[in-house]
Amino acid sequence: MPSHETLERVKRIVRESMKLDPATPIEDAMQLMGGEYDMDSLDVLLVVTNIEKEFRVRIREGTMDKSAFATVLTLSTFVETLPREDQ
Amino acid sequence: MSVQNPADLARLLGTLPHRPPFRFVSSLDALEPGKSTRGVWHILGDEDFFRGHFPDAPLVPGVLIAEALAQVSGLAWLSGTKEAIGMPARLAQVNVKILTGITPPASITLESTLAKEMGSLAMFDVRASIAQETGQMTIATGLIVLTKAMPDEGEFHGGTPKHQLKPG
Repeated sequence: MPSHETLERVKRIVRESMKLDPATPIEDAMQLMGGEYDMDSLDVLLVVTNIEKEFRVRIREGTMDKSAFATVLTLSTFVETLPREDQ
Repeated sequence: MSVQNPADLARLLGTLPHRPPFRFVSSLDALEPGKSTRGVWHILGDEDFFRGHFPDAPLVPGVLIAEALAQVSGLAWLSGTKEAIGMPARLAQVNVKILTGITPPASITLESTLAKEMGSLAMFDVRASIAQETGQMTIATGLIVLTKAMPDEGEFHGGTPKHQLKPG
């Protein structure tokens, strides 16, 4: 289970990347692909890039599959598995 | 690498599918294949689009500055690998802020750096600037995404096709 802080940071990234209203509630279980907001490949690229900047991590092709983008919760869990670049 | 040799410049510009009058890169100052490009668009003022944009008050169209930035991004991407040359690359997303209007004649420096490549998509940080006495003044900045295929044709298809752009 990811930390509350990671979840909130990922939610902020998703909200900003998807250009959602700041007041839009985002649940931990919110579906990112196929759900109400249904991210496409461009959205995924933007979220990945912003996660890299925010968490100072590197997400390499092949280290991430679709399941990481199932929900905010799975994405946050995935983020916490990534080694920080400055470590 | 610097591209001063006219033959090399012509060969590199030829890797772009664009041709005059819709090529907005006049010269290349620097090219790091697959990573970054710095080029210049020399605008004389006699280009056809100034007849309408705008009569008696010519102004370089912001959308053409964004297009020029997309073209130098394409040069960086298409020069990266032998397989990429001639590859059809298309504009997938533009998020460029135009900071000031430019009147001709002008020489606009175009810079693009690959920020992230994923699947069929490549995102570039871009900047356009003009020379001032005090140094380069940024006139446009933002990000551009190019694609080898149309959005949602790749492995990250998220469901319902959504081809809409998201201008910033």
